Amino acid sequence: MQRIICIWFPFLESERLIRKNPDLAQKPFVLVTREANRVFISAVSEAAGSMRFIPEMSLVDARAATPDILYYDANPAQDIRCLQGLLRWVSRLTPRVAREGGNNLYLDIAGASHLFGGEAPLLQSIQSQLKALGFTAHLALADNKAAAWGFAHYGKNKSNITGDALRDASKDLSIEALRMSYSSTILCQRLGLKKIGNLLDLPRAALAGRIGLEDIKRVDQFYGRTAEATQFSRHRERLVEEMQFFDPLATNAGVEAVLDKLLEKLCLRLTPMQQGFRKASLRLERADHETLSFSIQLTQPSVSINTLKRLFSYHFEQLDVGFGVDRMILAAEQIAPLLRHQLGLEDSKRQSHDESLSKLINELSNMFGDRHVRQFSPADSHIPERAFIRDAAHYPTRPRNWIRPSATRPLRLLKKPVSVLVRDGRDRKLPETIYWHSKECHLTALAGPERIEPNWWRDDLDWQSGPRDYWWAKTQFGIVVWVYGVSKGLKTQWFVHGLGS
Amino acid sequence: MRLDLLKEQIIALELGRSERRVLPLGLPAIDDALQGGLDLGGMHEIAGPAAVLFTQVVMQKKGGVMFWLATENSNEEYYPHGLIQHGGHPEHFIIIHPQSTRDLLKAAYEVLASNTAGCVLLETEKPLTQTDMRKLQIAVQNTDTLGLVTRPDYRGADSWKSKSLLSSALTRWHVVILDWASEKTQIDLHLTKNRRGSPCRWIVEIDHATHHLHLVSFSGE
Repeated sequence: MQRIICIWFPFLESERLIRKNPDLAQKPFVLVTREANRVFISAVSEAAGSMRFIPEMSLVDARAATPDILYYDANPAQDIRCLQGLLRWVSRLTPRVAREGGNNLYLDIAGASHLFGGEAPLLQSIQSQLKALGFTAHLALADNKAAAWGFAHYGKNKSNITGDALRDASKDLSIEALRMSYSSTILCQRLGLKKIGNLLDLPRAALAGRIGLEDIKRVDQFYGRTAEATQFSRHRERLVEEMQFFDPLATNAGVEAVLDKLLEKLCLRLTPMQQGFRKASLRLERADHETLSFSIQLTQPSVSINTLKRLFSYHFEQLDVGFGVDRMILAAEQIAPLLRHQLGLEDSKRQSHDESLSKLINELSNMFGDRHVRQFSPADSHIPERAFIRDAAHYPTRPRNWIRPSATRPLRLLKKPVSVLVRDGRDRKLPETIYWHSKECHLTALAGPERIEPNWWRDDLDWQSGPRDYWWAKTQFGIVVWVYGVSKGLKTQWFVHGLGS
Repeated sequence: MRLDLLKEQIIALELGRSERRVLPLGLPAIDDALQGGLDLGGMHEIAGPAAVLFTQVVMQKKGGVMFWLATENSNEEYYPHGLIQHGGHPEHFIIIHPQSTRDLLKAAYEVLASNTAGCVLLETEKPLTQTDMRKLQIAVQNTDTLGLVTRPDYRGADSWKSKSLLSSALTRWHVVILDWASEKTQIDLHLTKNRRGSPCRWIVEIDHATHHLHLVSFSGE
């Protein structure tokens, strides 16, 4: 059986602002949202609410009524964060808490209320503590979510409804408490069914014909005849360990020793979960309020203290503890399941090689940064410099299928093709002499031309000058170059794009 | 026979290991001059305009994971499709581009000493000092990794003479392309320093389909 408390915050948005700026408490103000050219009120403060300002009203109307009304921009993201914070706050009362739609929190307190002196004192204490935090709350306790919602929004505050009393207590509740669709609610009100009690006397079949099955389900949920799913928020453990010191740590050795302890603690927590570090970060707070942070990444999740410490220790080379470190915080930013392979007898050697290779890449990536340790991946393009990409070698490898090119490609490519001067760049044939590396090179054509067309659908700066004719040529110094010419009007410009054969 | 055995032992002592491991290049003439082939667990220097091509031949013969270390500001980079055509495996090719030469050497020590790489190709703009080379040599000994050092070079055939010959590399090569065709390339292979014997010079053909070396002519020094 469930015992659900619904907490409704009617003025959450405005009270969030008042908490930040207590001066606002006495003044009526509204929060506005802009939509296209319309500016309308999305939430009102308690004082403004009593002046009959309501959400959905346009700001122009509100200002016509009260020219000096204060208004602020609404910030829905902040409101949600505030509600999340409140959710965390109430999660001390029961592990089953949820936030669903609007400014409502649901708590399932079945089996937990006796810890707080029973249901009525619990409701009372929630309300008074929220009041102390600066939030107005409407609460109701019932056997299911729908009823709790209905009583929180339309019933007496802090109403406590038990199973049998629900039918009687709900008789005088407004029909809107049933959460029926807007059209059905309007229809019922037009028919004079203003209270839930009026609805209960009607034959079910006739009612279903009028308001539809979906809204009948709402009525059933209200009386607990149909179950309704609640997504209770999952409790997530924060994988953080920290230590504070009365006497600041003044040496690097001290910092390392503490890091050892922190790693040990966190690894002990991770091991039973069968999880390992993927990313970890370490924050050092110095006595002079400076914060130093380091982060490491691993290819293979690990809980080996030595490996992790080694990766951190690369950063410690430039560590400056200054006047000392007050506080150290180690956090597992990302974790992944530990993979444990069974070692085969015959490929244990290969496996240990793979392992030490990934460890090496790991260390190098952490020493020099991801973008300095890379690996090739194929890309689908016929343009030479776009036929591959360079990925961080660090990430788990994905299958790489290389297509063998049809024509000869150079061993080395120049990232930026080097423009070479020619004596007479008049025709599209390979020039005999080019000036490259401030030397005169005599070219002997070896193979070519191979025409490569640009991607016409793409506005590529390097390929603006049109198709390229690639040639293989040899200089008198014994270098084989891959050169191309592009026509620009009557002239042809030549570039070296690759070396070797 | 006894002499050969003693020679082997001396080399092993030099390398600080019980047995010498080599990479034969598959050409008896060259392998004999090197007493079996290129020493694994040692640094070798390859220079000249066709250095890239010859290193690729050596790396393809060695296999395993290939590490290419060069400073970031270089305009050149390996082209995976070209690698495939030369028998390379882009999926086993790892590029390390540290920002400074200091970091480059640091990375090189790590990679060489880890004994996980097949080959490590180090490319620097300025020649490495004797000390640096010696450090690399110490890092790589006792492993099965082949350490290669090269330098971009466009000056041509005679440039090696002007450079300082001081270096603790086990061998030094100077390679120039003589003739190039789509199926094979003829190169002039000049072994200018040889810890295992005397310097030599060969003209060799590289078959692009099989990636084998064929001797064209031999010219001793």
